[in-house]
Amino acid sequence: MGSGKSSLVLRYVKGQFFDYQASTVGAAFLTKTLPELNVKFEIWDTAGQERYHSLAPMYYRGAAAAIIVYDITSPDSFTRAKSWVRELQRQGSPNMIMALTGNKADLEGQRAVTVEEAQAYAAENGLFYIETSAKTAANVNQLFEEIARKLPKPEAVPRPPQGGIVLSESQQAQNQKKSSCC
Amino acid sequence: MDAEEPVLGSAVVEGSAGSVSGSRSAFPPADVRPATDTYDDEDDDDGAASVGEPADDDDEPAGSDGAAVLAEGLAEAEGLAEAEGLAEGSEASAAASRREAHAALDGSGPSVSPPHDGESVEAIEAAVASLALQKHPPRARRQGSGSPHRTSTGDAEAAEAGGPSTATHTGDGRRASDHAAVADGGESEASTSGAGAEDAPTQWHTFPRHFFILSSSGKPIYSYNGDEDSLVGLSALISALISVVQNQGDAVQHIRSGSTLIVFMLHGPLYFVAASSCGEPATALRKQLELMYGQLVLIVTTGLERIIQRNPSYDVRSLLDGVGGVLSALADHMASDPAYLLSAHKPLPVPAADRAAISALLSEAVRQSGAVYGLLMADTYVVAMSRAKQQPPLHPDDLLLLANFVMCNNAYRHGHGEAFSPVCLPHFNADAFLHAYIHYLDASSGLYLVLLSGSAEAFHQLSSGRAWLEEQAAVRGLTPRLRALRPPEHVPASGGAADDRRRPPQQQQQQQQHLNVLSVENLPRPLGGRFGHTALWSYGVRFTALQQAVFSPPCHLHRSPEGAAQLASCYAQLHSLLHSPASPARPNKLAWFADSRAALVASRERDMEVYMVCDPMTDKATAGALMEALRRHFSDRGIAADVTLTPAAASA
Repeated sequence: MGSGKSSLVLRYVKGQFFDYQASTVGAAFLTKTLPELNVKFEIWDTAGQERYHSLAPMYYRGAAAAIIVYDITSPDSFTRAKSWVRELQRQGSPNMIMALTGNKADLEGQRAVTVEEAQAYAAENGLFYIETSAKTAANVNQLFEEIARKLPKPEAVPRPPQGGIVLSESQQAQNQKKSSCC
Repeated sequence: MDAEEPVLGSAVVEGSAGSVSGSRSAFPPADVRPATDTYDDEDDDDGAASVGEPADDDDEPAGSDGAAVLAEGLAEAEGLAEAEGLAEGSEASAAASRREAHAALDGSGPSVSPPHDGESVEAIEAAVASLALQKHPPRARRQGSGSPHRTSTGDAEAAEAGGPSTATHTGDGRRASDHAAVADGGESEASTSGAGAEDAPTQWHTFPRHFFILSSSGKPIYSYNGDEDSLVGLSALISALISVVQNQGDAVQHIRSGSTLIVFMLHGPLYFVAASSCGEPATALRKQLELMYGQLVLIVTTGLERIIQRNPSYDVRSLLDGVGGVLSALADHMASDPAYLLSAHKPLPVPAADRAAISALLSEAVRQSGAVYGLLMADTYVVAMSRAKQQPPLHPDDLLLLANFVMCNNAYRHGHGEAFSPVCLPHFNADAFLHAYIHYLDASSGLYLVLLSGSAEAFHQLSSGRAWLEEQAAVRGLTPRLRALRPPEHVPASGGAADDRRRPPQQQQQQQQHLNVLSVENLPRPLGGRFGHTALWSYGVRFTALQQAVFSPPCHLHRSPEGAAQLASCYAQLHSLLHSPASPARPNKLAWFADSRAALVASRERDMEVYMVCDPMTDKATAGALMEALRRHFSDRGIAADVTLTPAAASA
């Protein structure tokens, strides 16, 4: 079981949830437009497996935002989320918005990572922090809308440096999902 | 025999040091304790009880003691012991008679390639014999306690227990080892008999087929049945078997035990083992292992081997998260679809005009998107394929592995976004990834498009190439016809069949329509006809120059999973008969085999290989006539155009 990256994106983009979601192989690309905020999300839902780690830069290079997802019932997944944060701080673009997301919040009974611990870590590293549940949809829209609001306004943005993406008139944010899997 | 036993003793030390719990009497307890814990508890007591005995025999030479320990330890390591249990009398006799038929045909006796000397064969024989004896614990212990002639006694006992048919087989086994002892060089096979056992069924026993992958340091990587953790004991046994033979400067190829055939394939630091009692010949199981290796490479490239070589103790399972499912799906596929044997593309029958139109679109999409290869597939069947200039044709095995990989990932089919995944095509470049854009054109029919590119940055180009293709197909009115395409369902027990029932009758009609080109019912008389009206049950035709093959959809006898497996093993048998000539210079042109289940016929000419599975009552003259009719039918240009891809797409 992964931390729920695909479930989170699927809940947001398509409003669907599957109890058994096959683990992602490679990556999946999804888009969602928020006309009221003048934002079009282009989302890479990346695989959590270790063997795809070396491919990750291909997805987060030039991204405007990254969501690092961990599973609140798994301390391991939180540890791996932290290592992803370090990697993104080192390798990602300096203006990238990073959101640390504790998923599976519906499994409160099995919680293994406390809100305080995650919040303290997020504050220390300047991350936006939120807990979500792809299953119940709690906070999922809030997460993406908050990212949309944090994105630089069109006039402030010279042009996101990303290879090969045709920009339309609406502002685009390439948004990156990645995280620990477990 | 006495002289050889020290060799066995040393094999225990090197091959499976400490992990054979039975070695307590031969080694300091400290070595053994931890490993004992890794065994299934049920066998622990037995092991402890039995190992005491060799030590009691004070007059035994030390080397022999070690050998006994190996035998006991192996017997304990369960896995093969259960496989042994499948050697029921009737199966054993069927297997034996088949082998004889095989031998008669290729005129070379049992397919034994002997080792440098007889030792390794006898060593393995001893081990396997002790596995057989495990079925009768008290006797096994008597044997294990160090009779210097336990191998032969073991065989005799096994023969007693297994009845006359097994005895025949025992003779066979004896012959094999005699043969091995006099000849020199080459590869080794050990053969011995298995005793049918009704008692003590265990977990491994219950499965007719097994696949194992482990690293050269004995670390379990994958098991088809059960999870790889339960492999701990068994991997020690496998390592020991491989190591015993390697000590002779040789490599173990396969071991036959009753009706169970165990095939080994060593690939650098990876060991692949298949065990089957379904009747596939060794060549087929070897091909299956090669494909499993290819599937691993497809997902992780040969980098996996380099990692293990650099750091043998690294647990590569962390890199192979989720790969087990893909390997198991491949194993399931090979159990029910014999096409993997032929190394040929499997074209889906499509009216030639439609195929030409969609192939042209695909070529243009490949050109526009800068892809290396473009594929339009349904299940493992090819609807159309295209490649960039200067690229070699895709290898059929690569295509099968890619198709299996795509089909395993439900997320691709059910539209969780546009998928982009690294894949490695082993025959294209086993060291590097290509990047695959995977898109289902129609989730219900399972028609999907794969565009492969060498660049990780190519996603957006490939995506727009796909969009162009879909748009053009719609403009030209091809979309509804593409959506009507359905791959034949090989095993209705799978999820696909359930879908089938939900489909409106009209769609089922369409499915019938395009498949019926290949169905036996629709072949011209007297070749074809309803079941019972023709002797022909099933056929496969391989178009040699095109590297393509077609198979008839299964008749009702072969629609159950068991039926499909039986049919696949018939084809495997037939393929092996046709492709193992007595001398490489004179390939077999015709193969014939009949038993109570079916009559199997195959022929090979320059342009075509034809395989037929017929009613068991068929005589040779009838089969010959059917064969000729089938060949004529598929030589017809009009029919060939609908059922095969044009050479331009496939190989030009």
